Amino acid sequence: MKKIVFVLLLLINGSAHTLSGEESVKTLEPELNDVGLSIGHMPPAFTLPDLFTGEMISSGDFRGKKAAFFMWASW
Amino acid sequence: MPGWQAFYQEYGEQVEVVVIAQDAQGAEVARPWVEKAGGTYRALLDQHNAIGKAYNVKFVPVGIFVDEEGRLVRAVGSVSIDNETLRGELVEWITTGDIPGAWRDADKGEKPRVLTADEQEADALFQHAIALLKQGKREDAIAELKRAYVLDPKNWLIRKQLWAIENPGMFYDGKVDYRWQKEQMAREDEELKK
Repeated sequence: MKKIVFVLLLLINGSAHTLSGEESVKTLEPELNDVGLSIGHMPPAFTLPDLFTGEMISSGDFRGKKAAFFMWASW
Repeated sequence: MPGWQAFYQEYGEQVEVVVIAQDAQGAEVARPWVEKAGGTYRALLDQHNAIGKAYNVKFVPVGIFVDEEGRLVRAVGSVSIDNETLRGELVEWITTGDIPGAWRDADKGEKPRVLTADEQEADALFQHAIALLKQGKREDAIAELKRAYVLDPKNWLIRKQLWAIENPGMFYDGKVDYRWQKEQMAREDEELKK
């Protein structure tokens, strides 16, 4: 619902001020859709060392392939 | 742990399997578990609880499953690779690319949130405890963790970590003692009520 209201506001704003509406929508899109913890969202990015080599690995390094991350602990 | 290796051997071509150790004591305590399981998948270390804080997660095991674009196909949450249902859903997603209905039904649309003041203080104490452990000041680290869990008692990433540091025999000498954990939890819950 929030999303719809926001988009409507953008449209009203865009038509009233003849600013380049397309551009503002594009810039705002990541804010509207991206980071989240539910389906379709980008989870917060992280960079962590490899447990054995210490090499820094980012969550984004696996783009282009499905990835399953499992959090666990020795305790 | 053996569950991940079997899963990785079967589906590793189609899905990157990455396990992330939440261990404040560092790589040394986590490595033997991966080695014992013969793990050849990618293993990372989250010593400072970076994911727990960013994802509102206070326990393990937790799964984060993303598609080729890096988008979640399942709400971040509890998983067990040894659970038949979960494995079936994973295989369905991997082989068809379709998100299982059960994953959609269980999705509550959760979003990251800012930590409360108490959670932030608990985290600061947790981070200090890690620094103290590195300096070999185990007793001081335990004291900090004891202050931390009182501020954030439902955070098992802090509370069970404390148990393991204070009572390594209950965690690292062969079998994990679940009865002891239950009793410990009851003891602490009594203390928290005061």
